[in-house]
Amino acid sequence: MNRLYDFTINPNDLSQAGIASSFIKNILKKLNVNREIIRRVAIATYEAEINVVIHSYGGKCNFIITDNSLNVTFIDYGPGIISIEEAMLEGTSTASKYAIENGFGAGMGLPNMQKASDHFSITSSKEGTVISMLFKLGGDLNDC
Amino acid sequence: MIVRELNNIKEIKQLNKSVEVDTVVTDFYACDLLSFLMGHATQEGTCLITAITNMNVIAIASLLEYSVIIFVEDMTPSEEVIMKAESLNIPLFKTTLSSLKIYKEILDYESQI
Repeated sequence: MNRLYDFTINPNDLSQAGIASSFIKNILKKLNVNREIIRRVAIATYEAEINVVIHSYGGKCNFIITDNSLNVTFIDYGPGIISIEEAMLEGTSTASKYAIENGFGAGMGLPNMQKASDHFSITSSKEGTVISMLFKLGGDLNDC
Repeated sequence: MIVRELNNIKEIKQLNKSVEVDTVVTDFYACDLLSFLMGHATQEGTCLITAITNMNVIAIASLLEYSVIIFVEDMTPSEEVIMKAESLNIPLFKTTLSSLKIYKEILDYESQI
């Protein structure tokens, strides 16, 4: 089984954040993936989606489900992260007032993604940031 | 504790009455930082106690399958947020008390039954 999905993520619209991560979660539920794995995927993908909304000029989410893994990529169109090393530290945040007023900006986004995924990679430049995460889904999945 | 038992605590009022309230509350977590929640309150069935009333709280409760949300300090979500929670079958309650005081009320209730 190989399925590729693609989502557009709009900037500065927190009310729409979560659509991609909810979609991914519902697919994994239909595939009868282990609940704890679904929970980790939900955490990591929601954090990534929120990051695109609150920090970028917009972006997209692509993901592919194979027989035993989920590969998710979040791509945004800038302005990029000045120091990935600092951004990976818990408690470090450059969130806007708008994001903070809505409960975000704790500086936990990237660390949460790294902890929740089985493989995490991030690259960033002024042109944008790319985050890729891999989740091992385990066993043969049911068709949906 | 079962979610519906929150109705036995006089300081708590249910906001959406047409949702399922037979879910078991497995844990309690009080927090207003949503990313912190995502990293720490990851247990299914958690009762979230928070002052944040936006749509993102509902999204997180749905993703992590929380059993119920209690809004504190008289904070009331918009009708849109209540409707969204209803569509996702997430019970919402509110109280005028603070997080710590309402949790004490819950503990007192549980110690009496």
